[in-house]
Amino acid sequence: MKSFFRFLYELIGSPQPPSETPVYREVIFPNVGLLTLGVSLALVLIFYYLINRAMGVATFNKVRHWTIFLMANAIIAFIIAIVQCNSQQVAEHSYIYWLATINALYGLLWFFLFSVILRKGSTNASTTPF
Amino acid sequence: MAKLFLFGIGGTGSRVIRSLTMLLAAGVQLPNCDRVVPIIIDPDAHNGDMNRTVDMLKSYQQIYNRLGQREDGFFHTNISTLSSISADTNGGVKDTFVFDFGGINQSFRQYLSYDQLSIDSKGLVELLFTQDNLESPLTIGFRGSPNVGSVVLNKVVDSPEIRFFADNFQAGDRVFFISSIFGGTGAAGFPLLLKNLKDQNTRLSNARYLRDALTGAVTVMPYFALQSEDNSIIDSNSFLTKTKAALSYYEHNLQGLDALYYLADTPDTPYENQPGGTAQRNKAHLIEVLAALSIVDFMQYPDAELRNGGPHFHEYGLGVDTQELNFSHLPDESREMIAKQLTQFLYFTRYHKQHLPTDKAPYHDNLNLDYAMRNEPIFKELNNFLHSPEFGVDEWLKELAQNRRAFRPFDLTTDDFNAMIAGKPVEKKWNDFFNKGLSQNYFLNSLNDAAKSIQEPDNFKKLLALFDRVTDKAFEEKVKVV
Repeated sequence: MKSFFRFLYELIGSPQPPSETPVYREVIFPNVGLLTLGVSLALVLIFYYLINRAMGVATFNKVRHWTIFLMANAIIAFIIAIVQCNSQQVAEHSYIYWLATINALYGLLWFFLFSVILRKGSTNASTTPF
Repeated sequence: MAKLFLFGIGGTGSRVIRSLTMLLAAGVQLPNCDRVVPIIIDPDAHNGDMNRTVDMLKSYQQIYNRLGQREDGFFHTNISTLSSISADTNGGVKDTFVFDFGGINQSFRQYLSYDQLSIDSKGLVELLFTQDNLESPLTIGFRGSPNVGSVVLNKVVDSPEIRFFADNFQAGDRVFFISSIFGGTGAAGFPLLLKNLKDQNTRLSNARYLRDALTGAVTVMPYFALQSEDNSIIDSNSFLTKTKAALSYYEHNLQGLDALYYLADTPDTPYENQPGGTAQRNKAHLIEVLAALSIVDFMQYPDAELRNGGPHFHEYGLGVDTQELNFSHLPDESREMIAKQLTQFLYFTRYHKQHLPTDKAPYHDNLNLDYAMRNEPIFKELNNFLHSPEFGVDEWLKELAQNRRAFRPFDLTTDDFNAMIAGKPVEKKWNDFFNKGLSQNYFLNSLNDAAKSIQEPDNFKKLLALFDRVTDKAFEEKVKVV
């Protein structure tokens, strides 16, 4: 698990400053990765199964509505990375924002993949986003 | 495979068949038969009422043929042309709902070969017929003259169509006649046809089946008046006199009927005086719906009950004498027959017009409706049946609402499904914020849900099945009773 998230987040380069590499690899990457996966899954479930199935809302199923959730997921993923870095009291560095940005992109990716996998179970959004 | 042979005679016959077809399209049950065979008998080949009824029947038939046999739902009753009940037509019977008079392009005088008659016969003809009768062109029917009709319609009995009808008549089939008593074609045609079908000495085949067949009729007494015009041939002031004369004939000369339904109404706003032709296209009237209900009522009787102690005579009375009727003014029995089905059909028709073309939803994608509604002929046919300005459901409901007496079970001016049933809005609880009653969201959610559970590869059949189910659910959950 740790090596999986280390692989994902080190695609943009090694953590900076180098002295804090162990904290990133041992704590921050797994935490941020799992939280982002969890939040993406939760938002997908809310969109497809809560709103567009259980609540019976049939007019919140367009691509634009899905995009709102997608972007919200990216913003949350961005914030998660920053909050995690701050909570581990790593040194202030522009790397934190690069990490947050790539996490936002992974958030987009997870949300998209979960959407593709789970959309068929929805009543009103089974054809969203395509 | 019991059949109901429905003889619609004259303009009233066409109009009642139009209303019956609407009821059957809405899903009203017609028990004790698997197939309805309308035979419209009207020598006026250009009659506006008849032609739009025929157009509608053809449209219904195409839709039914695509949907196939089902136990219930919209368009579930098989309506066929006479020729389609058997493959062996000998080429003499056309595939049409209308009896083929072969174009009687002559006057009554020519039809009788008056000039070749002996002096004595001419005298008799002049005693029985006026000069107007004799000069009347038969191309536009009998113009309110049953004495003319009773001569010309004898041709019907010896026709290939009636022989074909008799050849294919089977035990268990029923016959029903629709006619008016105060006009020309219906008043003459009904007793004439009945007499010939039930005749002990008939030359028609299956004579025993015909004689034993359960036979009903609705005879419509005056329910409209015509504008008085000095040079017009039809004078509606004579309707009552003609009715009395015909009734006194019926009293002693209608043999072989098992049930007879009488309907009448007090005329209100007079119709435009059109003796026939394309211009004779009257607005749909409540009486025609009630006459159509008499056919449903007749078919609901089991064989044993109809044969026991007949003939059974029926008259109809409204719960309240009002000029604008909705469902609540109908007696319970009538309301139970049609209210739910017509409400479902209205929801379908309105949703089809208001939302179906623009919906973006899984059910829409699942049925490929964007493509189908633009390109597939059967979807265009359904659109015709529902919205044609000539014969569509919208037009029929509008005419019923505009006529006097008006039948206005629905508010046709609103787009709000909650307010469509006149006098019976769908209740929304003030404390239930999420319950919007019959909103577009409600229909969309139900359609999407049903689309997942109905496994039907044919997109047209699935569309109808979806709306059957969804409108049924809407009625049961939100309307409950009317």
